[in-house]
Amino acid sequence: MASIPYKIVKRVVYVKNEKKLVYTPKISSTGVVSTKSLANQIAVESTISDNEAKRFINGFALVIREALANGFQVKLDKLGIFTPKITAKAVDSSEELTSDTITKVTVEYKMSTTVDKKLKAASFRKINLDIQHV
Amino acid sequence: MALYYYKTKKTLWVKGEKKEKYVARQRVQGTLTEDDIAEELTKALSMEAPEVLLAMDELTDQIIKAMLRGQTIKVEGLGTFTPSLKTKSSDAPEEVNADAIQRVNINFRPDVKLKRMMDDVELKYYSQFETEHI
Repeated sequence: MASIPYKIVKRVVYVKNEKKLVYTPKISSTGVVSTKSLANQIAVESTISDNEAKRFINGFALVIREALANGFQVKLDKLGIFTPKITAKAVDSSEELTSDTITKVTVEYKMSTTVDKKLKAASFRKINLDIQHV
Repeated sequence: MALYYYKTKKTLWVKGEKKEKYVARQRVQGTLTEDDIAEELTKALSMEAPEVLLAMDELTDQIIKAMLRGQTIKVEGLGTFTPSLKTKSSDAPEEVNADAIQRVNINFRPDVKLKRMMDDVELKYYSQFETEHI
């Protein structure tokens, strides 16, 4: 079974204005899984070709982008929910509240209970590297 | 493409003084499910529905498996998923072990295409709602 590799890092924290050095675990990156590699895996595990798998991922991302930009949330049962989210400034009266008070439009991701349960049950393995200062 | 917002009334405490403020919040237009995505992709990619569903299932499985290996996953056009740890700190490196890991979070960073699309959405006021007090 897969496990999450972690390394030890040291960082400076301030406790009651006093500088203190502490040590914590941090995920030891094992690289990035690219879209190409995801497409290859899909092609291996299904009946579609590599190219079809790439077209599938492009189409999948496009459908989700368009839905989010039209104010829809997107629910993927196993993975989780993507929701459009606005950040806005608070104003003193209802009349002052216009679209100009909206400072940012972004997308929020909330993991599914499936992902949450799997991550809670995840195991970890320590990687012995030189301790980094973060 | 448009995103609708409505007005909410918030009670805030500013320097010990109670103040009522108004803030915009996004209105979710509805939910796009896996079946909806599959239907759109079946039409757009001229693939059979079972193939699309299998590919979608495989894609989400691969993303979750990579999360459980502590890897970052990049889905072009959608965004990047990066696992991170919520941890306890220790005074000495020898004290750091897997017990210091309290949970695994997944950070989602929207892809540049998704960011651009969200930046360009038209923001429209949805007046059907009464101002909500939160």
